[in-house]
This record gives sequence, structure tokens and C-alpha cells, in this order.
Amino acid sequence: MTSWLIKRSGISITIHADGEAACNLVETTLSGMRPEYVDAASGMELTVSTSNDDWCLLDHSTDICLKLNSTGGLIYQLTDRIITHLADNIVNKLCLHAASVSLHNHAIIIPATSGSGKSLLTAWLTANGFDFITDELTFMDDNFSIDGLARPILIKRHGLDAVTPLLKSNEDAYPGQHVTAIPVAGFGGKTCQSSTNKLGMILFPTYRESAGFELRKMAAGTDASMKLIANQLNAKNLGGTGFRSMVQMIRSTPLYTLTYGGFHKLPDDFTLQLKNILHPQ
Amino acid sequence: MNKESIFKQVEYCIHEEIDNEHIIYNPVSMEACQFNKTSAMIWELCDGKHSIQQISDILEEIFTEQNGDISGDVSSLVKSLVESNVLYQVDSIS
Repeated sequence: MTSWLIKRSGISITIHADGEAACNLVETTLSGMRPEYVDAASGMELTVSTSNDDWCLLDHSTDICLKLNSTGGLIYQLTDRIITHLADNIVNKLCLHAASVSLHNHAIIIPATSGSGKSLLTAWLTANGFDFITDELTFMDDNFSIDGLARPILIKRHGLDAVTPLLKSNEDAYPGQHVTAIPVAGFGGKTCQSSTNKLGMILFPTYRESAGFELRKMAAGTDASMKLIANQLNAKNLGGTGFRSMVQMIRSTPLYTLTYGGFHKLPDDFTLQLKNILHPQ
Repeated sequence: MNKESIFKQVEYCIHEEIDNEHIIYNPVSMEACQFNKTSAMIWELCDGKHSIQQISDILEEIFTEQNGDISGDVSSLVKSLVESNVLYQVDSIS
């Protein structure tokens, strides 16, 4: 049995893997999360094992063992439990349902509800020179320092065709019934090693097949606040502090909306436009 | 709800003005409402002391040239704020 500890803001999760196959898959899944090898468990415990051709994910708190028949399904369920546990229990940082990438430790956060294409955009940005922070769970402290949970990027079935040209090798993909998990290295990208990225930009994406490309500055008003509030995960743990942090974020950070109809609609200088917003000349 | 009904802000709700717009947030239900300056004025007047009728009278004095059903507008805004868990009805003037 091999065990890893994931720790964020005082919340601990121990993940055990039983057997070589489970160990390899868990190691790949957790590799971007700055895990520590441990001998003793602390906090929430999850165990991954194999049985016949199935993967088993045991949640020790409920004693329920989930059987999964794909690597992608296992990665999705394992990381979903880690994310849910962190978002439910962190009390000193704002947790947002948002992807994040960074450039020279200046972060772009991409808050969006499920199905808005934030994982696809994150994959594209990662393949085009931005460091990967997370595709799902962003943390922000009182100083607007940005960190995240760097799991493999989870691409829904209908988005696979879009990211296939970005893949360096098909061996890097872990398919599942509903999602395919792709470690950031699969896109030729790398995970951001810093846990203290300065917030540089908030980008609200909308994917619409018929759309062209529009990157538009957004007013620091209530519309942006409502979009951010819709993607908060733990503000109830923070009392009024979480809301005030979000309002302060809106007031002090460049806000943009991106509407696009696919990667082929993004202009050649798109990354340069983003870089200029993060690092104005 | 009738014109004599009185409403009060949920104590822990937070009101912020952002770029001349207003937002009220309930940190327990994690619900938020956004509205304009006039609606923010109605929110402020829901202090457990003013009835719907009194709030409507105050607004009619301020917006003398406004046509339409101010009392009806106040009632529907208050109703939506109650549904959003940022106001509650009180039995009597506090």
C-alpha cells in the first residue's frame, strides 16, 4: 500500500493505493497537487484498488466502494471527492469553481459553470505557453494570491475532437465513459509550481459554435459580481468576508469576457493580447 | 402582503455599491440580488419601521414626475427580496 497526503489550508486528505496499477494511476492523478508520501493517514481517507477488471474507490467516511470500469472515470471520481472535501471545509480562503493559468506568476482565473468550455480553453492556454494551475478549483487568499488543485484536465466527450490536435500523444489520455482525463504534460504544458500567483485578470468565457472571436473589457459592476458569486463554492464558510473579497476582486482586477466559436477562431495574437493585459507595457 | 405590511433586512446580509449599482448578498444562503439606486433606497427603507405604504409615499415625494403604480412596484420588489432571503416580514414596528 502506498499513501499520499494532499494538504490545503489546513485540510488534509490521504489517498491510499493498493497494488501497482492503482499506485501508478493515483500517482499520475495527484502529481500536480504537490502530494507528500506518508506512512500514517490524516483527515479524509480514500483508497484506490483494482478488482478483476474494475477500479474500486473506497471513501472511508461512508464506507462506500465505488466500482469504475475506466481510468478516466476513476480519475474523475477521485478528484471530484478531493475537490468537494476541500471546498466544503476550507475556512480561510475563497474557493471558486474556476480554472486558472499563470504567466510569470500572474494568474488568469476563468470562472464558469460546467459546460461553458473552461477546461477546453484551459487546455488550449496550457498548450500555448501558460502554466497550468487548475481546470476546476481555484483558491484565493486575502492578498489575492491564487492557487488551485492541479488535477489532470477533464475533457467531456463532446470536446475531445477540439483538443485532439493539441495532444502530443494519444498515450497521454485516460478515457472514461463521460470524460477523458489528460495530464497537462499531454498538451506539452507544465503545472505552475508556485502557490502564490498574483491575480492579474478575470476572464469569463462563452463558447458558441456560431460565434467568431471577441475579447471585451467588462465594467467592474454588479454583472461581473453576480458571475463571480455564481461560481463561489465556500463563501458560507467565510461569513461576509468571502463576499467582500469577491467585490474587492471585481473592483481591482481587469475583467474581460471572451466569446469564441472554437480554437480556429482565436486570432494568432490572442496569447499576446492576454500577456499584455497581465503585464502591461 | 398588504400595504400595511412591514419588512426588515436579514441582519447578516451585506450591501455593497459597485460602480453606481447595488448588490445585496446573503452569506448563509449564498444568494445575491443586484439592483439600481431606487431599489437600493427601498431596501434601505425596509428597516422594520416603514410599511409598504409609507415607503411608497416617500418615493412618490421624491419622484414627483413618475407616473405609474409606485406602490405596486415597491410590493413586487419587496416580494422578490423576500424570496431571495434578504428581507423578512415583521409583525409590528420594531
